[in-house]
Amino acid sequence: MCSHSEAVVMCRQMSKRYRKGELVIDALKQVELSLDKGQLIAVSGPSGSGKSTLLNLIGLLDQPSAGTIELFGKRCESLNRAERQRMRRKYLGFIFQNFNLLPVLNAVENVELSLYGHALSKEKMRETALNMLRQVGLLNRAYHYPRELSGGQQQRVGIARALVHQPRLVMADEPTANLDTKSATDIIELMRLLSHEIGTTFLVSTHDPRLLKNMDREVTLTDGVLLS
Amino acid sequence: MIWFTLAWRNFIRNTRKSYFTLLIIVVGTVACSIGIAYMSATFMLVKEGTIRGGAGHLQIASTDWFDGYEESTLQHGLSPDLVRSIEQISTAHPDIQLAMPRIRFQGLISHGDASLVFIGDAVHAKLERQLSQAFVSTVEGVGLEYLNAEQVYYVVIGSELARLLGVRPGDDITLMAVTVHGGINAVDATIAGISSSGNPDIDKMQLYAPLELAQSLLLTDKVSKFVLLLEDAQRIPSVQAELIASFPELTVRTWQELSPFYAQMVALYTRQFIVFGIIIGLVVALTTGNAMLMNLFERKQELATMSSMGLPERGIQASYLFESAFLGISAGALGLLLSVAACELINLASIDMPPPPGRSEGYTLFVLFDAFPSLLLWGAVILLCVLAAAFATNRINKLQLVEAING
Ligand SMILES: Nc1ncnc2c1ncn2[C@@H]1O[C@H](COP(=O)(O)OP(=O)(O)OP(=O)(O)O)[C@@H](O)[C@H]1O
Ligand SMILES: [Mg+2]
Repeated sequence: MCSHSEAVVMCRQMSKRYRKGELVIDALKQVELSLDKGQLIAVSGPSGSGKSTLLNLIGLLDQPSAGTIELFGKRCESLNRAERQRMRRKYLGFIFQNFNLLPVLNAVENVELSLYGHALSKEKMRETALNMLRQVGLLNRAYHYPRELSGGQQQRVGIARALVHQPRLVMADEPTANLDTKSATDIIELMRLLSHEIGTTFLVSTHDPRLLKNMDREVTLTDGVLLS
Repeated sequence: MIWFTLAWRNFIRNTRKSYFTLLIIVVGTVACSIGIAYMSATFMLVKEGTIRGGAGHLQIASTDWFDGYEESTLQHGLSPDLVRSIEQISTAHPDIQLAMPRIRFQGLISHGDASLVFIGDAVHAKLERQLSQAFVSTVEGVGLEYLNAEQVYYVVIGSELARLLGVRPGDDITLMAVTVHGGINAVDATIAGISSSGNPDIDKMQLYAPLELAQSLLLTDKVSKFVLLLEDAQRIPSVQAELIASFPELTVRTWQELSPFYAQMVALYTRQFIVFGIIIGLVVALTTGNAMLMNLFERKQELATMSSMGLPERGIQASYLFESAFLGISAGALGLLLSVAACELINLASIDMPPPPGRSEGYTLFVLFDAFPSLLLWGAVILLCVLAAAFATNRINKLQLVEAING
């Protein structure tokens, strides 16, 4: 359904409006956005400009108030909860600011979580997850629990988890905000490498200008308005 | 299975926080378990007391003897022919341990100037003694079972009756009764012993006599009925059926039919226990449900993360149900173990209880820990925990992912 020329993400006139009592907040205003396959794309903008909101909508965690979202050629703005859940499991990956690893699972088990529902045997699942951990350079920490890992290492596990099921699109909301500069640049470098290697599209929000230089493309949000 | 693993690890991780919940479930389990053990013991005591206390497992008599009343003495009694064939069949039957003829009769008992009404049970004392170690507990003198075959004209009377007559063991009395022919007959007898049943109303009229004494007083070879004791209570239905087939003209009743009190007591106790159980169950369910809600709240971010990865919410909920089940399994097991110990202690402590209503003697508290009801209880505790968790977590699919995901 998606040829190489087709966009991975296509947003048209996409808006998100929050209501808090009397107060109306237009977090996103008629966003027009189209993302290509295999690119590392930065979403920059000041705090409160709507970066998280944009990622949540494209990641099908939330629904737009108006406009359309197309992922891989499929209209997604009015899918129900279960359908969005299914889309996320099959085609999307998430990397979080706080890493969000499950504390009761070790590294390889955390990575394996992404493989449930993909009809793999136990052995195949373990093999795939270990492979992915090797790719992020953490094979020797596979059986460590999150509390035994540094922030940078945890985020590598997070990246492995987001990529192990070969999603078409990975959303990363400020993935380096809780890391020191060295780890942050390493993580961005790793994402760039993997995006080119696997052909996965990365959408990364950040307001750290140092990280922007390694990106393939940058879009900027100001007050809910997107400038490409 | 990932949900199982998650549940188990979360259960382990959470044990320190769920001490209080665990404690509530353990206490609830112990309370119910001891309640059940107490009921089991009471049921067993009453059942054995009824059977051994005279009812036997089965009784055989004419239908009118059970359901009608006798206008003349032994009107509905069993003829000597029937007595013989019942005795023959009982002796030959491998399931029947004892077959005891009895005569119920009444009359006047006199000593000096005093005459009082008695209600008599004429028995084969040596057989009755085998039915019950406590057959006619004598407080003075000796029981009928100690008399030899020639000592027919001896009786044991209730303590109140003895007091009213002013007699003691060794004193002579005269018994008077209406014979089967309608005339009046009298025999002289000696007081062998004085009995106490614990119930003053019974002790005011009760008289025990050898069967031969009653038959010579009433001028008959008949008996009122036969009381049967079986080797095994489980054989009651089959033996009953066989006897009905052998004696179609007679009626065979079980001890339960003869003492509706047992069934009433079981129903009453059970109903009381159900109310008690519901209260305990509510406390356990509320505590567990609350603990699961807190867990849910604390792990909101983990839930949202799993959900964002597209893991099914049903699976996530299942892991909570498993976790709660683990809580129920462990707390229930702990509770049952403690109950075994507590029951053991209660029985060792020989706690004296006041006399039950209608009795004049107290008894020693006794409880009976049984495997089957305990397993049921365990199952109920686990089920309750799972249900509570189901209630607590049934809104997982309403979770606001976007808010929860960043903690
Ligand atoms: N659930 C909500 N209810 C009401 N307003 C919201 C909600 N979520 C976000 N907003 C508002 O929408 C706007 C955009 O928020 P968003 O979180 O997308 O900004 P951001 O660019 O990610 O900021 P930051 O860099 O601080 O993470 C803000 O004004 C925010 O207050
Ligand atoms: Mg944000």
